[in-house]
Amino acid sequence: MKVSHLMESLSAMPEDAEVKGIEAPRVRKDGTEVTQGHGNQALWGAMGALGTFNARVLASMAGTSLLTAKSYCTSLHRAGYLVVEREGKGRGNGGVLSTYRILRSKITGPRPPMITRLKTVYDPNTGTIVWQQDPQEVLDD
Amino acid sequence: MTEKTELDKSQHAGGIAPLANIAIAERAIARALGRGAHLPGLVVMHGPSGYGKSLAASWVTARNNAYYLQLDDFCRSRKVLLKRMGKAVGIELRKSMTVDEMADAVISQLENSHRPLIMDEADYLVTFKLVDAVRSLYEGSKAAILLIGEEALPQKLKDWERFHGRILDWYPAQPVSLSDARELAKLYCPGRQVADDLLDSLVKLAKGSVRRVSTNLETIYEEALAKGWPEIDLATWGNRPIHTGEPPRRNA
Repeated sequence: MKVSHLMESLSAMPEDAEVKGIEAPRVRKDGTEVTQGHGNQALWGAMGALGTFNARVLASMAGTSLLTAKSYCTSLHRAGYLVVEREGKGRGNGGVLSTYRILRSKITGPRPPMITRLKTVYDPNTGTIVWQQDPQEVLDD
Repeated sequence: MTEKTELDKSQHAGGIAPLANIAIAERAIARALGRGAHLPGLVVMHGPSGYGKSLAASWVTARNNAYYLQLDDFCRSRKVLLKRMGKAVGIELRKSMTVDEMADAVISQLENSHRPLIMDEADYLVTFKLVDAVRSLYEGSKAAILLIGEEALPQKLKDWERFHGRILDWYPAQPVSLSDARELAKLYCPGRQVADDLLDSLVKLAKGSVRRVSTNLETIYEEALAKGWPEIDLATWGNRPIHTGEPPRRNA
């Protein structure tokens, strides 16, 4: 890349780029921010502070939908970050949600474990895949 | 009818209005983040156990993309504190590092990330004389830091003059109110209408504790499910027990 091009692309950076600090946002080729994972970031932060919670309380604190919170809890439970303190029962407004507790020893850092498209749980703090979906499960679904 | 629509809407969004102590914590962190260049960036929220400080911590952590660290009985030395801090801010601290090098690494991450830091159970900092260590992390990074602790934390911090003088503001947590209880009912009794008279008596018996109101609402919800009550008021609840947090009395 020629220097002039480099300068151009630098000056084209959004003005708040610096304000966001060293943890650069994920951006697409056109420079817009990738918002996927923001919900999980909020949920992960909220979980650590709550310790024990159900998906509804978690979603309300983190500002995500109940569905997002439920699905993230299910994945992190499978991956062993969360244990079920009290099993839920029933569904919807006639049901009781499961109560989860986050294992302090599993909080490896501020980055939320990622649920990949391949249905694995990846912990970017330790750089490891912590849980992977059984291929048989995919076939059975 | 209007009320019903309101309720449905709020449940659909999966959200509640912030409880009083969440709003207070939000104000505290906003104040520290938006302070003038000459002002210190340390703020303290303090209140009795059960007042919903964890809920507040969780809300402000999630919504301000903050780093969160909960202190405990094992966090007794500067080295342990720095290791915990390293983990909380997501940097690798090598075993070969001196305490001084660890501190530099943590400070640099705090400074460059522009993310606020929330330190929960901050009374341990006083117990284990780590107040000055936190002051140095603050001085080095000028990060916005919210300390959350027990009721007496401000008095305890008075012994640490240099730290005390750098507190931008103090935020006492408030006892649970009826409007808090209405929000908590949305969380713990979804799809059910809990009348104000019942909520009011929960608040009166809770001695300020958000946790006690929440626990009672959970009990009420399960009873409402079992009995199929869509609405519950004081008369419906009758003389069923309301937990006060007191240990049960011995039978004579």
